[in-house]
Amino acid sequence: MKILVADDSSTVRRVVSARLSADGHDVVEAEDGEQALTLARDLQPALIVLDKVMPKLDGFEVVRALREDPKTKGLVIVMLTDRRGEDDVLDGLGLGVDEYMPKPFSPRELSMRVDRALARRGDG
Amino acid sequence: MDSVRYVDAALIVVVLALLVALVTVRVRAQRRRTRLAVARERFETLIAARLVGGEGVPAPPPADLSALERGALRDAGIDALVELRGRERERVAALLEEGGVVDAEAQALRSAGPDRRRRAADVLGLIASPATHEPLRAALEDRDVRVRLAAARGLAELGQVDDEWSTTLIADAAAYEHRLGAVAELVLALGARAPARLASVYFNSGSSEVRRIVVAVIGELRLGQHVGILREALDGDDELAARAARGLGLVGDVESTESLLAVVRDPGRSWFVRAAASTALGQLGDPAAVDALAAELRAGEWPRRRAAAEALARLGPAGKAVLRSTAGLETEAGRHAVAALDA
Repeated sequence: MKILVADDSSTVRRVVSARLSADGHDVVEAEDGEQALTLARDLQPALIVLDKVMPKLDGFEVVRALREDPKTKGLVIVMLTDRRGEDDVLDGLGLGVDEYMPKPFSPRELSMRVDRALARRGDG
Repeated sequence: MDSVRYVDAALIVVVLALLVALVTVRVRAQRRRTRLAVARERFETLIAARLVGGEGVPAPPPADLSALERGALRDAGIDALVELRGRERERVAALLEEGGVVDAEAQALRSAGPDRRRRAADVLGLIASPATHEPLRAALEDRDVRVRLAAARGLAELGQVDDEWSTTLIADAAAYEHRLGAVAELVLALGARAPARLASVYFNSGSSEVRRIVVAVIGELRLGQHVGILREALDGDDELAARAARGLGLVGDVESTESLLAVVRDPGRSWFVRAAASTALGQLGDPAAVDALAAELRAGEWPRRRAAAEALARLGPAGKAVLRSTAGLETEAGRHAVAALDA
Protein backbone atom coordinates (compact mmCIF):
# COMPACT_ATOMS: atom_id res chain seq x y z
CA MET A 1 0.00 0.00 0.00
CA LYS A 2 1.36 3.46 -0.86
CA ILE A 3 1.59 5.74 2.19
CA LEU A 4 2.66 9.39 2.35
CA VAL A 5 4.43 10.58 5.53
CA ALA A 6 4.38 14.37 5.97
CA ASP A 7 6.35 15.86 8.87
CA ASP A 8 8.87 18.68 9.05
CA SER A 9 11.07 16.64 11.40
CA SER A 10 13.47 14.41 9.46
CA THR A 11 13.76 12.19 12.54
CA VAL A 12 10.02 11.55 12.66
CA ARG A 13 9.88 10.95 8.91
CA ARG A 14 12.65 8.36 9.09
CA VAL A 15 11.22 6.61 12.15
CA VAL A 16 7.69 6.42 10.71
CA SER A 17 8.94 5.45 7.25
CA ALA A 18 11.12 2.66 8.66
CA ARG A 19 8.21 1.25 10.69
CA LEU A 20 5.70 1.37 7.83
CA SER A 21 8.23 0.08 5.26
CA ALA A 22 8.93 -2.86 7.57
CA ASP A 23 5.18 -3.52 7.55
CA GLY A 24 5.37 -3.87 3.77
CA HIS A 25 4.09 -0.44 2.73
CA ASP A 26 5.56 1.69 -0.02
CA VAL A 27 6.41 4.96 1.77
CA VAL A 28 6.93 8.42 0.28
CA GLU A 29 7.99 11.43 2.40
CA ALA A 30 7.05 15.12 2.37
CA GLU A 31 8.71 17.77 4.54
CA ASP A 32 6.04 20.48 4.49
CA GLY A 33 2.32 20.90 3.93
CA GLU A 34 2.60 22.19 0.39
CA GLN A 35 4.74 19.24 -0.72
CA ALA A 36 2.36 16.87 1.05
CA LEU A 37 -0.59 18.25 -0.90
CA THR A 38 1.24 18.04 -4.23
CA LEU A 39 2.43 14.48 -3.61
CA ALA A 40 -0.99 13.39 -2.39
CA ARG A 41 -2.58 14.69 -5.61
CA ASP A 42 0.13 13.26 -7.87
CA LEU A 43 0.69 9.86 -6.26
CA GLN A 44 -2.80 9.14 -4.89
CA PRO A 45 -1.59 7.20 -1.81
CA ALA A 46 -4.03 5.08 0.19
CA LEU A 47 -3.15 6.86 3.43
CA ILE A 48 -1.30 9.92 4.69
CA VAL A 49 0.40 10.27 8.08
CA LEU A 50 0.24 14.00 8.63
CA ASP A 51 1.84 16.33 11.17
CA LYS A 52 -0.32 19.17 12.49
CA VAL A 53 2.32 21.90 12.69
CA MET A 54 4.25 22.21 9.41
CA PRO A 55 5.79 24.99 7.34
CA LYS A 56 4.00 26.50 4.32
CA LEU A 57 0.68 24.72 4.93
CA ASP A 58 -0.61 23.70 8.36
CA GLY A 59 -1.83 20.09 8.77
CA PHE A 60 -5.47 21.16 9.10
CA GLU A 61 -5.21 23.22 5.90
CA VAL A 62 -3.86 20.15 4.13
CA VAL A 63 -6.77 18.05 5.44
CA ARG A 64 -9.27 20.68 4.28
CA ALA A 65 -7.72 20.82 0.80
CA LEU A 66 -7.57 17.03 0.51
CA ARG A 67 -11.21 16.63 1.51
CA GLU A 68 -12.34 19.30 -0.98
CA ASP A 69 -10.51 17.70 -3.93
CA PRO A 70 -12.49 14.85 -5.58
CA LYS A 71 -9.18 13.11 -6.39
CA THR A 72 -8.09 12.93 -2.74
CA LYS A 73 -11.23 13.19 -0.65
CA GLY A 74 -11.28 9.43 0.04
CA LEU A 75 -7.68 9.38 1.29
CA VAL A 76 -7.29 7.93 4.80
CA ILE A 77 -5.71 10.53 7.11
CA VAL A 78 -3.83 9.77 10.33
CA MET A 79 -2.83 12.93 12.16
CA LEU A 80 0.32 12.73 14.23
CA THR A 81 0.88 15.80 16.35
CA ASP A 82 2.08 17.16 19.64
CA ARG A 83 -1.10 19.18 20.08
CA ARG A 84 -3.03 17.22 22.71
CA GLY A 85 -5.84 19.67 23.43
CA GLU A 86 -9.35 18.32 23.24
CA ASP A 87 -10.35 21.14 20.90
CA ASP A 88 -7.57 20.27 18.45
CA VAL A 89 -8.63 16.63 18.40
CA LEU A 90 -12.27 17.58 17.85
CA ASP A 91 -11.34 20.10 15.14
CA GLY A 92 -9.26 17.44 13.39
CA LEU A 93 -11.95 14.80 13.58
CA GLY A 94 -14.52 17.36 12.46
CA LEU A 95 -12.45 18.09 9.36
CA GLY A 96 -12.35 14.42 8.47
CA VAL A 97 -9.19 13.07 10.12
CA ASP A 98 -9.61 9.30 10.49
CA GLU A 99 -7.16 8.71 13.35
CA TYR A 100 -5.53 11.12 15.77
CA MET A 101 -2.25 10.25 17.51
CA PRO A 102 -0.56 12.56 20.01
CA LYS A 103 3.23 12.84 20.26
CA PRO A 104 5.24 11.43 21.94
CA PHE A 105 4.06 8.34 20.12
CA SER A 106 4.80 4.68 19.75
CA PRO A 107 5.63 3.66 16.15
CA ARG A 108 4.17 0.20 16.86
CA GLU A 109 0.89 1.78 17.92
CA LEU A 110 0.97 4.01 14.84
CA SER A 111 1.47 0.91 12.70
CA MET A 112 -1.60 -0.71 14.27
CA ARG A 113 -3.68 2.43 13.82
CA VAL A 114 -2.64 2.66 10.17
CA ASP A 115 -3.71 -0.96 9.61
CA ARG A 116 -6.99 -0.35 11.42
CA ALA A 117 -7.76 2.80 9.44
CA LEU A 118 -6.99 1.05 6.15
CA ALA A 119 -9.12 -1.93 7.12
CA ARG A 120 -12.07 0.35 7.92
CA ARG A 121 -11.78 1.81 4.42
CA GLY A 122 -11.56 -1.68 2.97
CA ASP A 123 -7.94 -1.24 1.82
CA GLY A 124 -6.19 -3.23 4.53
CA MET B 1 58.89 56.46 -4.08
CA ASP B 2 60.39 53.09 -3.13
CA SER B 3 59.01 53.33 0.39
CA VAL B 4 55.52 54.04 -1.00
CA ARG B 5 55.77 50.94 -3.20
CA TYR B 6 56.85 48.87 -0.21
CA VAL B 7 53.87 50.08 1.81
CA ASP B 8 51.50 49.31 -1.08
CA ALA B 9 53.00 45.84 -1.48
CA ALA B 10 52.77 45.18 2.25
CA LEU B 11 49.11 46.26 2.29
CA ILE B 12 48.35 43.98 -0.64
CA VAL B 13 50.04 41.08 1.15
CA VAL B 14 48.06 41.77 4.34
CA VAL B 15 44.76 41.98 2.45
CA LEU B 16 45.52 38.77 0.56
CA ALA B 17 46.47 37.01 3.80
CA LEU B 18 43.21 38.12 5.38
CA LEU B 19 41.25 36.92 2.36
CA VAL B 20 42.97 33.54 2.46
CA ALA B 21 42.31 33.24 6.19
CA LEU B 22 38.65 34.17 5.68
CA VAL B 23 38.18 31.69 2.85
CA THR B 24 39.92 28.98 4.88
CA VAL B 25 37.65 29.57 7.87
CA ARG B 26 34.55 29.49 5.67
CA VAL B 27 35.63 26.35 3.85
CA ARG B 28 36.39 24.60 7.13
CA ALA B 29 33.02 25.62 8.57
CA GLN B 30 31.26 24.41 5.43
CA ARG B 31 33.14 21.09 5.57
CA ARG B 32 32.18 20.70 9.22
CA ARG B 33 28.51 21.40 8.43
CA THR B 34 28.62 18.86 5.61
CA ARG B 35 30.26 16.20 7.82
CA LEU B 36 27.70 16.93 10.53
CA ALA B 37 24.77 16.60 8.09
CA VAL B 38 26.15 13.32 6.72
CA ALA B 39 26.68 11.95 10.24
CA ARG B 40 23.25 13.11 11.30
CA GLU B 41 21.58 11.37 8.37
CA ARG B 42 23.57 8.20 9.08
CA PHE B 43 22.45 8.15 12.72
CA GLU B 44 18.83 8.98 11.96
CA THR B 45 18.81 5.98 9.63
CA LEU B 46 20.50 3.86 12.31
CA ILE B 47 17.93 4.92 14.92
CA ALA B 48 15.05 4.12 12.59
CA ALA B 49 16.59 0.71 11.82
CA ARG B 50 17.10 0.01 15.54
CA LEU B 51 13.46 0.81 16.24
CA VAL B 52 12.35 -1.77 13.70
CA GLY B 53 15.11 -4.35 14.13
CA GLY B 54 15.79 -4.09 17.89
CA GLU B 55 19.16 -5.18 19.31
CA GLY B 56 19.96 -6.90 16.01
CA VAL B 57 21.00 -3.45 14.78
CA PRO B 58 24.16 -2.61 16.77
CA ALA B 59 25.31 0.83 17.87
CA PRO B 60 28.66 2.05 16.56
CA PRO B 61 31.49 1.23 19.02
CA PRO B 62 32.24 4.45 20.99
CA ALA B 63 35.94 4.25 20.12
CA ASP B 64 35.10 4.47 16.41
CA LEU B 65 33.27 7.80 16.76
CA SER B 66 34.85 11.24 16.51
CA ALA B 67 33.58 14.00 18.82
CA LEU B 68 31.63 15.45 15.89
CA GLU B 69 30.02 12.09 15.14
CA ARG B 70 29.15 11.46 18.77
CA GLY B 71 27.53 14.91 18.88
CA ALA B 72 25.49 14.05 15.79
CA LEU B 73 24.41 10.73 17.35
CA ARG B 74 23.44 12.57 20.53
CA ASP B 75 21.40 15.23 18.70
CA ALA B 76 19.63 12.74 16.43
CA GLY B 77 18.90 10.55 19.45
CA ILE B 78 17.53 13.43 21.52
CA ASP B 79 15.26 14.50 18.67
CA ALA B 80 13.91 10.95 18.49
CA LEU B 81 13.55 10.60 22.28
CA VAL B 82 11.28 13.64 22.59
CA GLU B 83 8.98 12.24 19.89
CA LEU B 84 8.79 8.66 21.15
CA ARG B 85 7.40 6.77 24.10
CA GLY B 86 7.29 3.18 25.34
CA ARG B 87 9.60 0.40 24.19
CA GLU B 88 10.84 2.35 21.18
CA ARG B 89 11.98 5.18 23.41
CA GLU B 90 13.93 2.70 25.53
CA ARG B 91 15.57 1.32 22.38
CA VAL B 92 16.84 4.76 21.39
CA ALA B 93 18.12 5.40 24.94
CA ALA B 94 19.95 2.05 24.87
CA LEU B 95 21.47 2.92 21.49
CA LEU B 96 22.81 6.21 22.88
CA GLU B 97 24.23 4.41 25.88
CA GLU B 98 25.97 1.80 23.70
CA GLY B 99 27.32 4.54 21.41
CA GLY B 100 29.06 6.20 24.37
CA VAL B 101 26.81 9.27 24.54
CA VAL B 102 25.92 8.77 28.22
CA ASP B 103 29.58 8.41 29.19
CA ALA B 104 30.54 11.48 27.13
CA GLU B 105 27.81 13.60 28.72
CA ALA B 106 28.68 12.34 32.22
CA GLN B 107 32.23 13.45 31.47
CA ALA B 108 30.92 16.82 30.27
CA LEU B 109 29.27 17.31 33.69
CA ARG B 110 32.81 17.79 34.99
CA SER B 111 33.81 20.36 32.35
CA ALA B 112 34.71 23.95 33.21
CA GLY B 113 31.92 25.73 31.32
CA PRO B 114 28.57 25.94 33.16
CA ASP B 115 26.63 26.02 29.88
CA ARG B 116 28.21 22.76 28.75
CA ARG B 117 27.51 21.20 32.17
CA ARG B 118 23.88 22.33 32.05
CA ARG B 119 23.50 20.98 28.52
CA ALA B 120 24.96 17.65 29.69
CA ALA B 121 22.48 17.52 32.58
CA ASP B 122 19.62 18.26 30.16
CA VAL B 123 20.77 15.53 27.77
CA LEU B 124 21.17 12.93 30.52
CA GLY B 125 17.74 13.84 31.90
CA LEU B 126 16.23 13.33 28.47
CA ILE B 127 17.97 10.00 27.89
CA ALA B 128 16.68 8.90 31.30
CA SER B 129 18.19 5.42 31.26
CA PRO B 130 19.38 3.82 34.54
CA ALA B 131 22.98 4.70 33.65
CA THR B 132 22.13 8.41 33.89
CA HIS B 133 21.05 8.30 37.59
CA GLU B 134 24.50 8.43 39.14
CA PRO B 135 25.93 11.34 37.11
CA LEU B 136 22.71 13.32 37.59
CA ARG B 137 22.81 12.76 41.35
CA ALA B 138 26.41 13.96 41.39
CA ALA B 139 25.37 17.07 39.44
CA LEU B 140 22.98 18.04 42.27
CA GLU B 141 26.12 19.25 44.03
CA ASP B 142 27.26 21.41 41.08
CA ARG B 143 28.38 24.96 41.94
CA ASP B 144 26.00 26.46 39.32
CA VAL B 145 22.33 26.50 40.25
CA ARG B 146 21.25 26.09 36.60
CA VAL B 147 23.14 22.81 36.41
CA ARG B 148 21.65 21.69 39.72
CA LEU B 149 18.15 22.51 38.49
CA ALA B 150 18.67 20.70 35.17
CA ALA B 151 19.97 17.64 37.02
CA ALA B 152 17.06 17.76 39.46
CA ARG B 153 14.56 17.97 36.61
CA GLY B 154 16.21 14.96 34.96
CA LEU B 155 15.97 12.97 38.20
CA ALA B 156 12.37 14.08 38.66
CA GLU B 157 11.57 12.84 35.15
CA LEU B 158 13.11 9.53 36.19
CA GLY B 159 11.03 9.44 39.37
CA GLN B 160 14.29 9.57 41.38
CA VAL B 161 13.15 12.18 43.86
CA ASP B 162 13.90 12.60 47.50
CA ASP B 163 12.27 15.18 49.68
CA GLU B 164 15.41 16.88 50.87
CA TRP B 165 16.86 17.98 47.57
CA SER B 166 13.57 18.71 45.85
CA THR B 167 12.56 21.17 48.55
CA THR B 168 15.85 22.85 49.32
CA LEU B 169 16.94 23.14 45.71
CA ILE B 170 13.72 24.77 44.57
CA ALA B 171 13.61 27.17 47.51
CA ASP B 172 17.29 28.05 47.12
CA ALA B 173 17.03 28.61 43.38
CA ALA B 174 13.91 30.73 43.59
CA ALA B 175 15.08 32.84 46.50
CA TYR B 176 18.58 33.64 45.29
CA GLU B 177 18.83 33.06 41.59
CA HIS B 178 15.43 33.95 40.18
CA ARG B 179 15.55 31.05 37.77
CA LEU B 180 11.80 30.75 37.73
CA GLY B 181 11.56 29.17 34.29
CA ALA B 182 13.84 26.34 35.36
CA VAL B 183 12.02 26.09 38.71
CA ALA B 184 8.70 25.80 36.86
CA GLU B 185 10.09 23.00 34.68
CA LEU B 186 11.29 21.17 37.76
CA VAL B 187 7.99 21.59 39.62
CA LEU B 188 6.14 20.37 36.54
CA ALA B 189 8.37 17.29 36.36
CA LEU B 190 7.82 16.65 40.07
CA GLY B 191 4.08 17.04 39.62
CA ALA B 192 4.06 14.56 36.76
CA ARG B 193 6.42 11.95 38.27
CA ALA B 194 6.32 12.43 42.04
CA PRO B 195 3.21 14.48 42.84
CA ALA B 196 3.29 13.70 46.57
CA ARG B 197 6.47 15.82 46.83
CA LEU B 198 4.66 18.99 45.85
CA ALA B 199 3.16 19.38 49.33
CA SER B 200 6.55 19.67 50.99
CA VAL B 201 7.75 22.06 48.30
CA TYR B 202 4.69 24.27 48.87
CA PHE B 203 4.81 24.28 52.66
CA ASN B 204 8.59 24.52 53.06
CA SER B 205 9.37 27.08 50.40
CA GLY B 206 9.92 30.60 51.62
CA SER B 207 9.25 31.95 48.14
CA SER B 208 5.82 33.21 47.10
CA GLU B 209 6.85 32.66 43.47
CA VAL B 210 7.50 28.98 44.11
CA ARG B 211 4.16 28.58 45.88
CA ARG B 212 2.42 30.18 42.88
CA ILE B 213 4.17 27.78 40.53
CA VAL B 214 3.21 24.78 42.68
CA VAL B 215 -0.44 25.87 42.79
CA ALA B 216 -0.52 26.40 39.02
CA VAL B 217 1.00 22.96 38.42
CA ILE B 218 -1.49 21.28 40.78
CA GLY B 219 -4.32 22.79 38.76
CA GLU B 220 -2.89 22.12 35.31
CA LEU B 221 -2.10 18.49 36.16
CA ARG B 222 -5.47 18.09 37.95
CA LEU B 223 -3.78 16.70 41.06
CA GLY B 224 -6.92 16.16 43.15
CA GLN B 225 -4.89 14.86 46.11
CA HIS B 226 -3.62 18.42 46.66
CA VAL B 227 -7.01 20.11 46.71
CA GLY B 228 -6.30 21.21 50.31
CA ILE B 229 -3.40 23.32 49.07
CA LEU B 230 -5.64 24.97 46.47
CA ARG B 231 -8.30 25.75 49.09
CA GLU B 232 -5.71 27.31 51.37
CA ALA B 233 -4.11 29.25 48.53
CA LEU B 234 -7.48 30.80 47.67
CA ASP B 235 -7.02 32.95 50.81
CA GLY B 236 -3.54 34.03 49.74
CA ASP B 237 -2.34 37.05 47.79
CA ASP B 238 -4.13 37.86 44.54
CA GLU B 239 -1.60 36.16 42.26
CA LEU B 240 -1.78 32.98 44.34
CA ALA B 241 -5.56 33.13 44.75
CA ALA B 242 -6.16 33.50 40.98
CA ARG B 243 -4.09 30.38 40.29
CA ALA B 244 -5.86 28.54 43.11
CA ALA B 245 -9.30 29.49 41.77
CA ARG B 246 -8.31 28.25 38.31
CA GLY B 247 -6.97 25.04 39.83
CA LEU B 248 -10.14 24.40 41.85
CA GLY B 249 -12.16 24.64 38.65
CA LEU B 250 -9.80 22.34 36.75
CA VAL B 251 -9.70 19.78 39.57
CA GLY B 252 -13.51 20.00 39.90
CA ASP B 253 -13.67 20.60 43.64
CA VAL B 254 -17.42 21.13 44.14
CA GLU B 255 -16.91 21.69 47.86
CA SER B 256 -15.19 24.98 47.03
CA THR B 257 -18.28 26.52 45.47
CA GLU B 258 -19.03 28.70 48.52
CA SER B 259 -15.42 29.89 48.81
CA LEU B 260 -15.30 30.78 45.13
CA LEU B 261 -18.62 32.65 45.40
CA ALA B 262 -17.14 34.65 48.27
CA VAL B 263 -14.18 35.58 46.07
CA VAL B 264 -16.43 36.63 43.18
CA ARG B 265 -18.40 38.91 45.52
CA ASP B 266 -15.37 40.33 47.33
CA PRO B 267 -14.77 43.95 46.21
CA GLY B 268 -11.36 43.85 47.87
CA ARG B 269 -10.12 41.28 45.36
CA SER B 270 -8.46 42.21 42.05
CA TRP B 271 -10.47 41.81 38.86
CA PHE B 272 -8.37 38.88 37.65
CA VAL B 273 -9.00 36.89 40.83
CA ARG B 274 -12.75 37.47 40.57
CA ALA B 275 -12.71 36.53 36.87
CA ALA B 276 -10.76 33.33 37.64
CA ALA B 277 -13.27 32.44 40.35
CA SER B 278 -16.16 32.97 37.90
CA THR B 279 -14.51 30.68 35.37
CA ALA B 280 -14.02 28.03 38.06
CA LEU B 281 -17.68 28.27 39.09
CA GLY B 282 -18.65 27.63 35.48
CA GLN B 283 -16.44 24.54 35.45
CA LEU B 284 -17.94 23.27 38.70
CA GLY B 285 -21.44 23.66 37.24
CA ASP B 286 -23.39 24.39 40.44
CA PRO B 287 -26.55 26.45 39.62
CA ALA B 288 -26.19 28.09 43.06
CA ALA B 289 -23.64 30.38 41.36
CA VAL B 290 -26.15 31.85 38.89
CA ASP B 291 -27.11 34.97 40.90
CA ALA B 292 -23.52 35.96 41.69
CA LEU B 293 -22.48 35.45 38.06
CA ALA B 294 -25.50 37.41 36.80
CA ALA B 295 -24.31 40.32 38.95
CA GLU B 296 -20.81 39.94 37.48
CA LEU B 297 -22.23 40.52 33.99
CA ARG B 298 -22.51 44.18 35.02
CA ALA B 299 -18.96 44.39 36.40
CA GLY B 300 -16.76 47.32 35.46
CA GLU B 301 -13.93 45.23 33.94
CA TRP B 302 -14.61 43.33 30.71
CA PRO B 303 -12.61 40.20 31.68
CA ARG B 304 -14.97 39.78 34.67
CA ARG B 305 -18.04 40.25 32.44
CA ARG B 306 -16.75 37.81 29.84
CA ALA B 307 -15.75 35.17 32.45
CA ALA B 308 -19.20 35.45 34.05
CA ALA B 309 -20.99 35.11 30.70
CA GLU B 310 -18.95 32.07 29.73
CA ALA B 311 -19.51 30.51 33.15
CA LEU B 312 -23.28 31.10 32.96
CA ALA B 313 -23.34 29.31 29.61
CA ARG B 314 -22.03 26.22 31.42
CA LEU B 315 -24.59 26.31 34.24
CA GLY B 316 -27.45 24.68 32.37
CA PRO B 317 -30.96 26.11 31.81
CA ALA B 318 -30.80 28.59 34.71
CA GLY B 319 -27.54 30.12 33.47
CA LYS B 320 -28.69 30.23 29.85
CA ALA B 321 -31.96 31.89 30.89
CA VAL B 322 -29.99 34.74 32.45
CA LEU B 323 -27.89 35.07 29.30
CA ARG B 324 -30.96 35.10 27.02
CA SER B 325 -32.66 37.77 29.09
CA THR B 326 -29.47 39.87 29.02
CA ALA B 327 -28.72 39.26 25.35
CA GLY B 328 -31.48 41.62 24.23
CA LEU B 329 -29.93 44.59 26.04
CA GLU B 330 -27.84 47.16 24.15
CA THR B 331 -25.16 47.04 26.82
CA GLU B 332 -21.72 45.51 27.32
CA ALA B 333 -23.39 42.75 29.35
CA GLY B 334 -25.73 42.08 26.43
CA ARG B 335 -22.84 41.73 24.01
CA HIS B 336 -21.00 39.31 26.31
CA ALA B 337 -24.21 37.30 26.73
CA VAL B 338 -24.68 37.03 22.95
CA ALA B 339 -21.07 35.91 22.50
CA ALA B 340 -21.38 33.28 25.25
CA LEU B 341 -24.63 31.91 23.79
CA ASP B 342 -23.07 31.73 20.30
CA ALA B 343 -19.91 29.97 21.46
